[in-house]
Amino acid sequence: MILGIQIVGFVFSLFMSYLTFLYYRRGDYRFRDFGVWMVIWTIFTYVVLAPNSFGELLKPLKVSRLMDLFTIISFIAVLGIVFYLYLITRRNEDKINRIVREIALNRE
Amino acid sequence: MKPLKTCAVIPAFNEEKNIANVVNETKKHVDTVIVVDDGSTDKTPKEATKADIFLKHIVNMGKGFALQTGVERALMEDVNVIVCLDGDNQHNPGDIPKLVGALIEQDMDIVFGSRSLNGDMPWVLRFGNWWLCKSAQMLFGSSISDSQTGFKAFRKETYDKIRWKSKSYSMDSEIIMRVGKNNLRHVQVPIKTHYHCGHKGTTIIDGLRIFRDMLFWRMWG
Repeated sequence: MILGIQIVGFVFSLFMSYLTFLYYRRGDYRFRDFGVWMVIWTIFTYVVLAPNSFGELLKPLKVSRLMDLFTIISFIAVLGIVFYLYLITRRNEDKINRIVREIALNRE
Repeated sequence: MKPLKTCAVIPAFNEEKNIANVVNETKKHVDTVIVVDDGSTDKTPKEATKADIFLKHIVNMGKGFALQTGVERALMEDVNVIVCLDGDNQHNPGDIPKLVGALIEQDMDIVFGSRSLNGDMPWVLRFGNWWLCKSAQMLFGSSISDSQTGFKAFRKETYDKIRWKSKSYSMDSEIIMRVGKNNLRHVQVPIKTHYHCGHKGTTIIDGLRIFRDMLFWRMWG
C-alpha cells in the first residue's frame, strides 16, 4: 500500500523531472546534465515507491530502521553537495574578482 | 629630499549627486585623484570625469574591493602617500592636509580620521560604531575610537602590511586588526563629517557581518 508521504515524494519527483526537462529544452544545460539529473530523479522515485527493497542493507550497516537509513544517506548526500557548491562558488568568486579588477585597470 | 606625492582613492557607488564635488574639493589637496566607480547604475561615471584616473567595475563588488582596485592603481604611480575617503561627500577633503601632516610630521605608518560620535551621525551608526569599537578593543586591543572611518592616510610601504581581503565594509575593521597585528605606528586625527543620505552606507546587517568577521579574524586571522 502506498503511504501519504510516498505520494508526496512521487509528486515531488515528477515535478523535478518536469523542471529538469523544461530547463534542458530552454538550453540551460547539455544533454549529459539532463541525463544525470533524470537518473537521479528515477532513483529517487524508485526509493520512494519501493523502500523495502533496501531492507537487506539494514543489517550490514547496523541501522535499525529503513527511515533512519534514508535520513543518514540524505544527510551525507546534502553535506557533499553543499561542499561541492561551496567550492564552485569560491572558484567563481575568485574568477569574477580577477575579471572585474583586470577590466577596471585596463579600461581606464 | 624627494617631494611628497599624494594620491586620493575614492570608491563610489551611485554617487551622482556628490562625486563631482568630492573630486573637485579633493583635487585641491592631493596630486592625483583616483575614482573607482563600483558598478554604479546612475550618472556617477559622467559626474566623475574630473578625476585624474577613473576606473570602473563592471559590477558592484563592495567598498573594500573598490578601494583595493584604486590603491593597486595608485601604486603604479610614483606616490608616497595614499589617502582614502568616501565618495558620498561625508568627509571634508579640507581635512586631508591634517591627515597627511600627522602622517609625515609624527612619522606614522597610518593615520585615521576620527569622526565625532556626536554631531549629526545617525543614532544607528553611532551605536554600531560604538559597539564595533568596543569589540575591536576587546578582540584586538585596539585604541581606535572610530573603527568604521573611511577617511585614512597611509604610506605606500604600509599597504603591504594592511592589505585587506574583505570586499565589503569589513575592510575598515580588518585594517585596524592588521595595524594591531603588525604593531604599526598610528594616530587618530579628528575630522568633520556630514551625512547626506540616511539609507546608504553601513546597515545593521553590515554591522553584524563586520562583527562576525572580527570574531573570525580573532580566531584564525
